[in-house]
Amino acid sequence: MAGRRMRYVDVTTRDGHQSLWATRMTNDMILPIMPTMDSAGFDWINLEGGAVFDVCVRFLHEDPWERMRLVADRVRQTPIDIMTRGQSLFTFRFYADDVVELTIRRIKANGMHRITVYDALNDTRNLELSIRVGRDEGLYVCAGLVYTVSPVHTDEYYQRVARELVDLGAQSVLIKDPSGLLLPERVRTLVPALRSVVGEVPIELHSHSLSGMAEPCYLEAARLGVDVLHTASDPLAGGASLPSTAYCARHLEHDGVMSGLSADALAEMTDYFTGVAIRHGFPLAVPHRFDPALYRHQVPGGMISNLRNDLKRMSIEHREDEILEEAEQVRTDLGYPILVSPFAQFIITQAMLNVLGEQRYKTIPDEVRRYVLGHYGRLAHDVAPEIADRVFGGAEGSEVFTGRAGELIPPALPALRDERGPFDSDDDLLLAAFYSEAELAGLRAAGAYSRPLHTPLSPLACLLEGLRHGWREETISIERPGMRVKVVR
Amino acid sequence: MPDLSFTEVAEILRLLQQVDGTEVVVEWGDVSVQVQRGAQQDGKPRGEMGAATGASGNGYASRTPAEVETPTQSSSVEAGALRGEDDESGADLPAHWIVVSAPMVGTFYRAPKPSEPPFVEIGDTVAAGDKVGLVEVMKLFTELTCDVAGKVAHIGADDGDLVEYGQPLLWIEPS
Repeated sequence: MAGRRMRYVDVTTRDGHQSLWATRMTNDMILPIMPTMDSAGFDWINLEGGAVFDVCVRFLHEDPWERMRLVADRVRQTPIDIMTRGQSLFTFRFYADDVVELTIRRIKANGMHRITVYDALNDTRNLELSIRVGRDEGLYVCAGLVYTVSPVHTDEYYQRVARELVDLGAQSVLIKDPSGLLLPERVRTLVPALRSVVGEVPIELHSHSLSGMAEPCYLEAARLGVDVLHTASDPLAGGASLPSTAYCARHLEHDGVMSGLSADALAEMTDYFTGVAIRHGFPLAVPHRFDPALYRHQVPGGMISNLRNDLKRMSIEHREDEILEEAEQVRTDLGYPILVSPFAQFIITQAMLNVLGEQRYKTIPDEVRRYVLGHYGRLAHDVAPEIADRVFGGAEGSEVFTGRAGELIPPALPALRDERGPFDSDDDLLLAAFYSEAELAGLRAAGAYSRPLHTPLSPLACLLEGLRHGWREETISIERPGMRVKVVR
Repeated sequence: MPDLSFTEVAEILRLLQQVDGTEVVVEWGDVSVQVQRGAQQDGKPRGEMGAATGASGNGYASRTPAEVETPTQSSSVEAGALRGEDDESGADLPAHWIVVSAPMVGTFYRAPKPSEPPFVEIGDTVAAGDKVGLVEVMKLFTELTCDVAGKVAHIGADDGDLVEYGQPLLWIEPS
């Protein structure tokens, strides 16, 4: 094992801020550090995924396609990765095949080099098209199996999923642990089990440290031959995010597994993102403690904080424990869906309805109904009879669907062109496929990003930029031996 | 290294944003920051610098969904108060009108999408099983349907109102 090199996917500007800063980093915050990140020696930089794409459009009013191009202009050596939710792409809805296909092609056309795809139900049929088009476009295709703990999600289950992914053309297989449930002892059985079915295909690991366990899992996985780790810069690593790059590099080096990463570049990233946190009031990452409750309800931390907000809004925050306990039961009743979007929302919502309503499963939201009917893909296990009776007993459309979810949806692009076109580009066409005119209004009004390509990146330049505006009749002087800045206005 | 780090720059800028004295001197380590300000009253507040530097100055706090939702929260509180009055007048509504009530706590929407017209208006004729609204909770939308055929007689909540479990939303006068 000595002399082996670990490969790294940096997730700072994707999952890092998605997990810790509500995905609120803007182009202004991301772009200046990109040349440094390019020189760090990462094997890939993961830039966008569902939440980044969505927050860009709806809250930051920055075009996510443009962000791809702006980053591609600044990152010349490191291939860039975009994560999609398979047939749901960047949202929770399922899209027609023509939308999925064009999206993958536009990811490539906008200068990206790799896609990482996963399906929340581990129904590989939902990834078929993305993998095929990705390979056809010459993108490197990594496919994920979503990890959870349940009586049905055994090592054999994951071997089956991994084999299907490789057969479909995945060039690497990712263990994706969105809720941070993976423990070192499971790593010791899961990784060798996967290795025995994927052969030479690289195995990647992506685990959130919600319960403080991702770090020991990463070190254990590296010893067992995992090839690629997904990590983040220190201020955005650990806790709800993924383990720190510097941490992994340092400890693995001790075991003889090299990183090949530039310590200087990693240090500069740490300084830079700490600065972003301080300037914009984002919290710095804090490590989490081992949380036994997580292994029962499995609700990810981000979702709990959303739930808490919602409950507070409705003045029923005292019922949180009751709802989380019910979520545990709902998950079992629904055949162990994995608690990632959108199924995490389904489970929490159903749990809320069960707790707040007069009778469990008296109200079943349409989405949960569709899930039970197989419209999102194959279920891991049968649903409880009391739910099945309600759903299948209904009058309309209560047949189980056994095909590929994408087949349910007719092609969408021709109608979109007719109804909402003409479009300036296929990127705009796709935005229209994902969002309503009202949702796109803010983005349209904001226009294109207008900063020059070479924003000089130095702390001093950053200081001067920050001092450009201020009070009238103000004198500011900042001094340190060898440096003096004075502004009078 | 005599140069500054990004972390220090952020600390300095944050400091300048936070202090509002006419004369401020802060020293730490080998760094010293001095600020002198003239007449304050007509001075532009430093917070405005955000607007001028675009997104970079727009703080996280002002963008979190929780903050954005604050107005909704207060308006829903008002809606709640109004509803109390409505409930009293609700007693005057003809007893034979059939109520469509909220199946869960959540946000009530009268239209399928913001850009589209409402499912129904007062006076519209509806058939049993027709969609008359949506209730959203945690981004999940549940359709409201009416159980009887008739005419929409009264609508008790506005689009976007936070509604409670069992709260009456629409009244149908059976035909």
